[in-house]
Amino acid sequence: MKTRTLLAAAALAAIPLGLLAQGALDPSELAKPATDSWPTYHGDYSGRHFSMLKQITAANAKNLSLAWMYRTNPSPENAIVGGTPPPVVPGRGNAAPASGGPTIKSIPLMVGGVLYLTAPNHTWAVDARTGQQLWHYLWQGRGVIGNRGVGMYGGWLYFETGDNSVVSVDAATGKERWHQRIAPEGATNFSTSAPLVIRNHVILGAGGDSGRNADWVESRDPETGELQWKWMITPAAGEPGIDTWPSPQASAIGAGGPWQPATYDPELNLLYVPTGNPTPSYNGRAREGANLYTCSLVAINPDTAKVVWYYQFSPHDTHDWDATEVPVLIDGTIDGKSRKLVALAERNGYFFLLDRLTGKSLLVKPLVESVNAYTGLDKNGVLIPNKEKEPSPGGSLVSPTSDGATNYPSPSFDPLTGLFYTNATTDYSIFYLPPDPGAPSGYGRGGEWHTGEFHTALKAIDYKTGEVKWEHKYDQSGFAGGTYPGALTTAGGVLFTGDPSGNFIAFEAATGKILWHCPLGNTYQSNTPETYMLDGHQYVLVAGGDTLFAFYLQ
Amino acid sequence: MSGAWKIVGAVGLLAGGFAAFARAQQPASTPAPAAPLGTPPVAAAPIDPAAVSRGQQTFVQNCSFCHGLDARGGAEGGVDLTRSQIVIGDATGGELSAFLKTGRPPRMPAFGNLTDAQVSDIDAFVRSQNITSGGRAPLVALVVGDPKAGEAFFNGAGKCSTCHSVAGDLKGIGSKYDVITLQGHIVLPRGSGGWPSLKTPFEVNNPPNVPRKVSVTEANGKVSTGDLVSISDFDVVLRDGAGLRHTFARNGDTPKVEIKDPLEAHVEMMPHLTDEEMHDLTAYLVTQK
Repeated sequence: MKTRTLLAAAALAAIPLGLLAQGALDPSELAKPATDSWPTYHGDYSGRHFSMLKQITAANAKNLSLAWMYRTNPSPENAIVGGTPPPVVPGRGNAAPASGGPTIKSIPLMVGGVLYLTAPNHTWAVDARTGQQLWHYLWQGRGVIGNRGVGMYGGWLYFETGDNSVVSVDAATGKERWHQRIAPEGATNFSTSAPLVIRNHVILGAGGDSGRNADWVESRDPETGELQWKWMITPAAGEPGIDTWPSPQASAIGAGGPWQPATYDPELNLLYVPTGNPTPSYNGRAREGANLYTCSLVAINPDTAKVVWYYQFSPHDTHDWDATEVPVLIDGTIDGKSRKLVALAERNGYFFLLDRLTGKSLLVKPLVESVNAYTGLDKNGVLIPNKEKEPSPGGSLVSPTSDGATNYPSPSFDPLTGLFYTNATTDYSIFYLPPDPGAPSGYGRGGEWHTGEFHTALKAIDYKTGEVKWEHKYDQSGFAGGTYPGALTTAGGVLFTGDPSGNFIAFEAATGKILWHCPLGNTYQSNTPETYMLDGHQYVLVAGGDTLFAFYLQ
Repeated sequence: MSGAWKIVGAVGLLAGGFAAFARAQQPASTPAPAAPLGTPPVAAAPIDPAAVSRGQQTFVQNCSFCHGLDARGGAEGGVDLTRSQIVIGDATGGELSAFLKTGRPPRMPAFGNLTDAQVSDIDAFVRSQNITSGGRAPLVALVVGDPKAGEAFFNGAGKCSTCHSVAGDLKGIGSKYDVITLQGHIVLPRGSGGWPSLKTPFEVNNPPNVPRKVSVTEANGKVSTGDLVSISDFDVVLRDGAGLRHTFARNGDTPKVEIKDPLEAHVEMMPHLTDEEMHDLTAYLVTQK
């Protein structure tokens, strides 16, 4: 049954080769790890952020040098403009920020020698050989905190806008083909995720934790933009999971936004959707119960929208610990048996290993030693929240802060070392909630006092045991606002990531030895590095603020 | 907590029980109820409805993503401005105007490009929201501890009296700080402070600044000391007694870098401090007027 569905969908999705123009992307290529392109946000479906390339090695990484840099240009001049402008204020333009360009949190796609990157309401095509801008698409509309990038299908690109539309443009020209609303005009949702293309599905997400909306994941037709299915994170009356909410009304404003791209196992045909925190964020009294399916990993069949399993990382979260971290798919060996696994380093301060066929929890281990908001595990291997550590009128001292021990930027799994790499911070906040928090909305009138970060490290974790094989402690602690630099590993034995001081660093993946570094200017690494071969060079790209840097060996 | 929690029991519950609850092909979602717009006040200080309307437009464009469409805090944790002392503490909007020139990086960027007239309109809009919301009071922390137990902890197990004295450096501390700031500083007087809705007037005017001290010894024996500005594997920056900034490249152990944190005792205490001890200390110190 499942196979038949799969074959039918695959047949539907096939793009006749003759129709694929130069520089286009055949969706079937997405299932194979590529080395001459970077065709999705995660580089492939697995979320490993590992490349088989080995031109750059631990021995020669010290010779890396700048190939080019590209500074984002947000100016509406010469841009292709779409969307509806927000209310016009006399004497003030609508699109351009006061100074500098917007921050690149996206991971650029590279297909056919062209890079496609985004910042909120902006998409740029850049020549991957020279760093020169080819076109700029500007969406006029409400701003948003970040945008993770584009998805690609054939010669078409897809991206989400701050005011909850999805836009499809021609990759060659940037000209708009169509746009569709994800959420209605005026909704308090926001859309930041990078669309994920799976055969003939464009997977999108609507987030928003204002405490006044529901959030969801949905699939659209890549040609027409028509809605194929929509799965609400929080259940309606009569649906499974509604017993984890006090009422359908509470669930209907419970959020859980999937504001990060999912990962996907083509063999199991399962989409792994990481979900955000419940709302009101700090006020758990307004929503007694586990609050499914927030702060969870949900395995969904992308053809039918059927949920096959779920696992909740933070039941009844009251600390704004979105579980939108990257579900990293690992084909590994546990107790001598080959297993399909998924590993996550979570904002709540724990490392998790699950069986990705069943959702069975195999390992839960503190990522930072200071975690103190849970009392243990229940019989299903799920963390039990400590009531005493919920926000309270007198204040509850909790580690980590709402920024998390880690956050959305991608960790990396290197199958050659068997290590899972992530930056992690040990810190505390005092979480408050007034005795009578009143009407639940937003943060539920709660708040937190950041006591100050004091320990940050890059950790190399054995995925089977959760043990730290090596760690590099940074002398300076803390990444501002949870903007942890993402990581990339390569078959050349090199791990690329950033430190809290704005340096982009190449480490030896096996040992943690520093091989090379480059300061990114008066800013921090703001995305996750990527790599690909072009013209015989292995390029490594990383963003620092409004600038994209490309390195190679000269 | 240490050691892995290995799960050995059956977890079959998770595997199969939820196979059939797709909510496919749902109609477009119902939008959340629109936030009430600012309406002219009835019996409060007069606010120009035209200014409210203009202010709302400017607000939606510049501020709403973080602070919500109705200024009551929003999607990304911007504070509830209807309870902001900067807004409601100054009827003219002048304080807000000054604040927007600099912002509070990294979370709150500067909006120096807004004209005074635009800021004044934003001020009017936010005030109108406060009135329609019934003027909710700013959040305050409750004192829930036992002052006697706090005093005993201060002089005993907490070892606070090793460095501090309520007759000396902490004299009158209970009238200097509000409860939230006081409790935050008890834990560590360097915190980045409240978020999203706890910025107290004291905190806004007195950002915590207790820098680490650093000593740099170069290969030729020259020693430089000062406040640590920043440090990475590759460089260290200090500010000397005259306020001048000095940058040194680092190469392994050269130069030799020694850092002393005057707040080390707080940092060491934090992982062991219970909420009860923290509440008791706060209850004790608020009595030190």
